[in-house]
Amino acid sequence: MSTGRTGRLLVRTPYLEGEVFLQNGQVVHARVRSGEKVLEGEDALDLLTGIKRAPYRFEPEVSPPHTTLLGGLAVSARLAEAEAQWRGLALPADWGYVLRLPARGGAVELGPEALRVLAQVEGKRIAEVLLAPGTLRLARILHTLLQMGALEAVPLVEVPPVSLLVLPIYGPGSGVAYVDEALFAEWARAIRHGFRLRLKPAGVVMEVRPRPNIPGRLGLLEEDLRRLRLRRGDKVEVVPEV
Amino acid sequence: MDILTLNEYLNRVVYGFPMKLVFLLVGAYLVIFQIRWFSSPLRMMRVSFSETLGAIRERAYGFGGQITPFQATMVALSATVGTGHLLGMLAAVLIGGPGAVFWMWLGYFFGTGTKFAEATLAVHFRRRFADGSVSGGPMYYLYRGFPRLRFLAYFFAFFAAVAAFGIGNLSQAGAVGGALAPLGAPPALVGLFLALLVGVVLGGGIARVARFAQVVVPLKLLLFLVAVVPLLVRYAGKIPEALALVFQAAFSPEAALGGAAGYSLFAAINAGLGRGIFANEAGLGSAPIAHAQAQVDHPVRQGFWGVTEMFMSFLVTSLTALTFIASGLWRGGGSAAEAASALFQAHPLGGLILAVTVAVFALGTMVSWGFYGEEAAAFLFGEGIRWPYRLTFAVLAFVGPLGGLEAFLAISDTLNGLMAIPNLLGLILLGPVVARLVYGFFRGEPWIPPR
Repeated sequence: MSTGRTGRLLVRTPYLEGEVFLQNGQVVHARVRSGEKVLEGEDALDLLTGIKRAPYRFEPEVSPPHTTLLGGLAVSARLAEAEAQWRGLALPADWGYVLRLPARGGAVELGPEALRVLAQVEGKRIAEVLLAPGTLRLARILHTLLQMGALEAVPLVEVPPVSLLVLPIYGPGSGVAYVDEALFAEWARAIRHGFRLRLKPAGVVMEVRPRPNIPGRLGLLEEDLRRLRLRRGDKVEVVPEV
Repeated sequence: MDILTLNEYLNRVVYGFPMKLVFLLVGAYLVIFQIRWFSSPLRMMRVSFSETLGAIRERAYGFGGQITPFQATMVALSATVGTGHLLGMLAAVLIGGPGAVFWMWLGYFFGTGTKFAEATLAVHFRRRFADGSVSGGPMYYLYRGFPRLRFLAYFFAFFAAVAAFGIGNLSQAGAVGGALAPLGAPPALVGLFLALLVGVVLGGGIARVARFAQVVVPLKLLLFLVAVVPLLVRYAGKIPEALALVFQAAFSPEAALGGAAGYSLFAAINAGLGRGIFANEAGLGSAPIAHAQAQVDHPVRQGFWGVTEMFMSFLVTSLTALTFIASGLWRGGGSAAEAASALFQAHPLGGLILAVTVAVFALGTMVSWGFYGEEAAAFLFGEGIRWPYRLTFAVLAFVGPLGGLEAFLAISDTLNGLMAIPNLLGLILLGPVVARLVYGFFRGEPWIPPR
C-alpha cells in the first residue's frame, strides 16, 4: 500500500499545468508548463503558490524525472515566504486575463525593469507573463503597473459578432448603443466584466445598455446616427469588447 | 317608439353635425395639447417619415412578435380604404360641392392626432397572453385605463362586434355583389366565394389576416391608380382650376359656384367633415384593434404608423375628389353611383375598372372588419367565441350579395357610429397618457407597459 508520500500532485488551470513531485514526504521537484514554455524548480513552486483556486489530482507512486528542489524544511520555508508575498499582491484571481495598455493615457514614473516588462506584456495573459524566471519579481512588477494604472487586466472576450438592424432612439445624448435585454444578459454572462460595444464597419466603440423589446435591433441615438452616417434598418455587425 | 324609429334617431345623432364637431375638437385637443404636433413640426414630420416610410425596407423584420408594424398598418388600411373612398367621396362632393374637400382635409388633419393617439394607446394598453398572442384596441384601453368605467369597454366591444356583421360584412359583400353583377357574376356564387375566402383568411388568425392585407392593400392602391391616373391625365389641364375651386368654395360656395347651384357653407362643411372623419375611421376605434397587434418596442412608433394610414387614405380620397371636380361631372348632380358610372365612361377600361376596384376595396374591408369583430367578441365572451364568430361572419358574407336584412344593416350602421362615443371619451381622458408616452419617446426612454 502506498503511504501517499511519494507521487505527483497535478494542478490544472485553463492556461497552466503544474506538477509537484513528492518523494518520501519531501517536495523534490516542481514544474509548470503552458504550451511550449516550461518553468521548473523554485520559480515553478513560487508560481504554483500564487494560484488561488484550481482543480488538482494526486497520483501516487509517480517518481520525479529529476530533482530540482532540495526538499526538507527549506522548501516549506520557501513556500511560506512565497505565500506571504502573494498575499501582498493584488493580481486578478483569473490569470487568463489579458494585459493591455489602458485606452486613456496618463503620466507615471517607471523604473527600467518595469518599463522592460511593460514593453513585453501587451496582449499576453497574466499566466503567460508569470511563466518566466523570477516569477515573484514579475508578479510584483505587474502588481505595481496595475496599481499605477499603467496596465490593465481584462478578460479575453471571444464572443462572436452579431448582426443587428439599426433602430433610431430619439433623445438627447450620444455615445450609447442599446441592445435587447436578452442579448445583453447573454453577453454579460459570457464576459463577467464591464464591456463596451464595437460597431464593425464604423470601428466605433460605444457604451452599451440593455433595453426591452428590441430583439435583433441596435438602438442608436439620433446624434450618433448622424455621426456614423447610419440610417434606420441598416445592418451593423457588433461585437462586445472589454 | 319602435326599434327602427329609435335606430333612426340614434343614427342622426351619431352621424349628425354636432357629433362631427366633437370628432374635430377631440382631434384638435390631441394634436395641439397632448401630442403637440406644432411644438417642433419639422422634427415631428422627419421622425414620422423615418418611422414609417423609412422603415418600409425592414418590413419583413418584426420585433419577434406576431406581425410587423407595417403589416398592422396594412390590416388597418385594408379596412379603412373602402368604397367610402370612391363612392362616398363622390357623394360628399355632390352634396357639399368642391368646398367639401377643404373641410375634409381639415378633418384629416385633426384626425391624424386622433389616429396617432388610438394606435399609441392600443399598443400601450394591449394584453399579452401566455401563448405569445396579443389583443388590444379601445376595449382594452378603456378597460385597463379606467377601472371604474369598464362598462365603456363592454359597450365599445358590443358595438364593434355587431357592427362588424353589418357595415363590415353585409354591406361590403353587397357592394362586391353589386359591383360584379354587371359583369355577369351570379350573387350566390359571389357570396360563396366571399364566404370561403373570409372563412379561410380569418381562420388563420392575425398572421393570415396580415398576410392577406399585405397583398390586398398594394393591390387596392394599384387598382386605384389604374382607375384614376388615366382620368387625371385626361383632366390634367383642369386640376389647378379644380384645386382653386376647392378653396374658393370652402368658405363662400354661393359666390364661387353660383347661388342657383344650391350649395351652402353648411352643406360643404357637413359633407366634407363627414368624409374627413368617417372615411379614415379616426375616432371610431376600429383601426387601433389592428395597430395593437404590431410588435414594437414603443407605442409611439405605432402611433406614427397611424399617421401614415391617414396619409394614404388622404391621398386616395383627395385624388378621387380632384379628378371628379376636374371632370365637371359634379355639376350634373344625381347619385354617387350614377356619377361614378359617368366618370368612368371616360376611362379606357370603362366600367370594368370601377367594378373591380370597388369589389377589391370592399373585399379587403370585409376581412379586416372580420378580425375587428372577432377581437371585440373575444373580449366580451372569451377565446371560445372566435370560431363561432368566424363561421357566422362567413355565413353573412354569403348572404350579403343576395340582398335583404336592411333593418339589421341600418342598426349595425348606427352601432358603428356609436363605437365613437366610448372611444372618443377614452381618448380625451387618456390624452395625458399619450402626452407622457410622446415625451418619454423623445427623451429616449424605454417603454414600460402598464401592469
